[in-house]
Amino acid sequence: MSSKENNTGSSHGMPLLTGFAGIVIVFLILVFANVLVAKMNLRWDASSEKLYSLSDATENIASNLKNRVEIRFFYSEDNINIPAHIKAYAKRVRDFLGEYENAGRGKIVFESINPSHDSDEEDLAQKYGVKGLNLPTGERVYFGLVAISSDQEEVIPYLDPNREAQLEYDITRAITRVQNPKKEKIGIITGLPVMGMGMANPMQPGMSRPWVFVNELKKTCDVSLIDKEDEKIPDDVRLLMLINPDSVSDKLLKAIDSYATSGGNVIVLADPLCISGNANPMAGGGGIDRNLEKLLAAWGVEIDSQKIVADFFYPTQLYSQRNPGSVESNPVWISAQKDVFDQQDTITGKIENMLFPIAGAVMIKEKAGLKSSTLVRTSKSSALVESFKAQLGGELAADFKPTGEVYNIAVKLEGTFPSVFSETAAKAEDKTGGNSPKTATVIVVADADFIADDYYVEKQNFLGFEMAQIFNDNLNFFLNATELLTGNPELARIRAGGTFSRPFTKVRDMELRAREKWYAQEVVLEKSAEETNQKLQALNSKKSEKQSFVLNPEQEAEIKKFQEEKIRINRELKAVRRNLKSDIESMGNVIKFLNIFFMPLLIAVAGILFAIRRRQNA
Amino acid sequence: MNSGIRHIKSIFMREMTGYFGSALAYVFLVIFLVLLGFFTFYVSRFFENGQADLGVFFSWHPWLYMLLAPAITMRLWADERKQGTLELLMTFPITPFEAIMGKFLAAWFFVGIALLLTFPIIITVTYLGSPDFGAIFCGYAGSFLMAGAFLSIGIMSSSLTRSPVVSFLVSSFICLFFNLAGYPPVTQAMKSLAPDAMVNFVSELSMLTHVASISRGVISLFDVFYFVSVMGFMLFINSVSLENRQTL
Repeated sequence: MSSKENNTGSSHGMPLLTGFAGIVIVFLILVFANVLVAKMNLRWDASSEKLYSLSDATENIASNLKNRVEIRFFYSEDNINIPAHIKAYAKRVRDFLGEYENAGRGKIVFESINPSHDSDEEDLAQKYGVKGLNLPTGERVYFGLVAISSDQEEVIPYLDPNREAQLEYDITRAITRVQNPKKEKIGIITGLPVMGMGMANPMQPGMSRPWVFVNELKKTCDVSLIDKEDEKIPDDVRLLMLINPDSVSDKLLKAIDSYATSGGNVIVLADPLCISGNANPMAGGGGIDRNLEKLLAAWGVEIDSQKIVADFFYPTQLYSQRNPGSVESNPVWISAQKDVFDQQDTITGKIENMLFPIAGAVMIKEKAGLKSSTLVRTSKSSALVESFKAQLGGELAADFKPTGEVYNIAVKLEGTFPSVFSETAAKAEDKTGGNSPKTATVIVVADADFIADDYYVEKQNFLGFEMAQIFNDNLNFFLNATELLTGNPELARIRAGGTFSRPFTKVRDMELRAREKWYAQEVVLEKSAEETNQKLQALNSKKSEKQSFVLNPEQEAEIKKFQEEKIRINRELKAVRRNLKSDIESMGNVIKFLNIFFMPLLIAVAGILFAIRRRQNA
Repeated sequence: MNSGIRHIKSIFMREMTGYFGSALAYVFLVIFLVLLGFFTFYVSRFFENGQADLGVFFSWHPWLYMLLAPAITMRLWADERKQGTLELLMTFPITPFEAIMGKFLAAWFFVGIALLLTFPIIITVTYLGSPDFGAIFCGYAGSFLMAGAFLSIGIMSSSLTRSPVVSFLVSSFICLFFNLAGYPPVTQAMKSLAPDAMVNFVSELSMLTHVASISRGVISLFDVFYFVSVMGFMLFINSVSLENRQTL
């Protein structure tokens, strides 16, 4: 390094010019290098959920592909008006598809196509069904992909950033579907309008469309409704869904029974109190169909039609019916969290939270030939209450005494299913039918509302596209169960817990403890406030009846007493409500202070000490 | 080689005593930590959100660095020029490269200390819930790299002028540009002036998108290389301007 010459500096213009040229050259080199590195796709995924790497299940599927799969990724990347978050997501998708290519060992080929306006590429995109998205500026951009294998195509028309958590699942599903296009058949018997009602009812907008879960199912399976009048389950039905059926005829019961005994898989949603799909939500469900109860009983399953389960550890914050405008913790709307799901089962292994709007309890009696396991249960702070008490909502907490008993909300049964009808008839069928007894899997959930759209998905309209924002794992649970029972369990293993929520468990525990301490008191106070109010109103109405009514001193004193009582109760109520929140708020304040001021204070003190010492030394 | 490292180290130590020997370090650390805490807890309402996720915390770093990195670096060369110590420095047997590295590493190390001193929030979030530690580590790594990039811009700008204030203004402007590169205000402005390809290229320069990728919990070689490129480029300009300081 010839520092001597450089340090004196020269006044020629040359070094400046070469310096400037040097800058431009270095700039170009760096840009070029960056482009190269971008193509390399080297990544270290440190996130605990491994969000950006392929799961083992996908790696398995990818490396065992029979036929070659080509993935065409359409993205109008040159358009500068694409929102920044979509640009960023597109890059992640592209990187992710690169991972698929690596895992496929030559069997998966991925091609990026850029459809600009009025080009051949745009026609290609349209041909495959990749829908364009209209930007506010009027331009059309494409962001979708299609998987192609031999003559099968499976398209994802738009890669919704909100579905990023399901991206791996969607792509892997598309790949498996083009390899094996046969769609399994699902039959649904139901009393609810899950397939959408034939005629649009102006009183119930939106009811005429199929429920979201049906549309999801239709992506991989052939879904059809089995009419109540039918007397036979079609032979090619791979999975039967009984979604709160009403008025199951005896003939239909027989058909279902022989379906199950010959090894057919079933998902049963039997809800003692169903609030979805009814014209009058206040009427409530009619309980569980008699014949369905018979069927379940034959399998050792009993759901009490008159009882619902209240879980005080996993309530849901809802608007109170008794106190319009205020929010309360309603224990019959269960927001179940990770701990109550069976971690070992494929269906519930990755489920993080689910919402059950008023569910019953599944009781199991051991039956020979059948093995049962609990998929979803309640916490230890639960109780079984009469169905009519559902409307009490948060007030149930007032009478609650924990017994430590735990109830099942969803169970899985595996084995050979006995017939509802006489044992001998079943045995005779067996001998003539097949050599070995057929085994089946049945899943029973004591709630049907959890797969109604309102309770797991929020629909929004974005630039002409209907976007669905899913806010819990209800759909995941249902789809996992479906995949398991239609013979595609690997796909279930891919599905990540959809919500990635990491709540403050400390705060939740504190809320719970506060609730236990103060809630009962609040309920009692509210009741007496209401009574006092009514008494006051009665007295006041008497006064207005007769204009010339003059109060005698006793009546005046009574009114005054009640008014004072009312004020006192309201004050106590305010204090109790404050207490419910106060512990958490004060912890919040301490945390804020520590985080914002503690270190700075230490530093300031250190600085001052240091300055003092220096002055002393000088 | 060894003497080079020794030279860098001595410049480094000279700078560090400069920081901590004056009020500068303490004032900067206090302001940085208070602002970061304030934005996280009061503007982003971290506690009320109830999520054990430091995403909102990290999202403020680019904006704080945009103001504070120029503030730390504005005096690095400008002071030496003003006080006339620059020539003196250059008579020592050190190369411009070593001087630059010494100053830059000192500034970067200092910001590293500032980041370390935010550890109370890690304790807080661990106490309140169960966060993703991989993502937190990546968040800090990304923030540290980004700090290096902003500091390199600042130190480069300081080498161009005699006035610290001018340095501060120029570097904040450049840092702001880097933050906003991919976003509508900048792209719209550029659309009428430059061809599409250039606008696309500029939006790739955005610091925010690179940092966002890292703070999701994934460290990609591309993002790391981006930050290293920015630092390298700025420091190179720095060395060119030092060598030409007579003409500037």
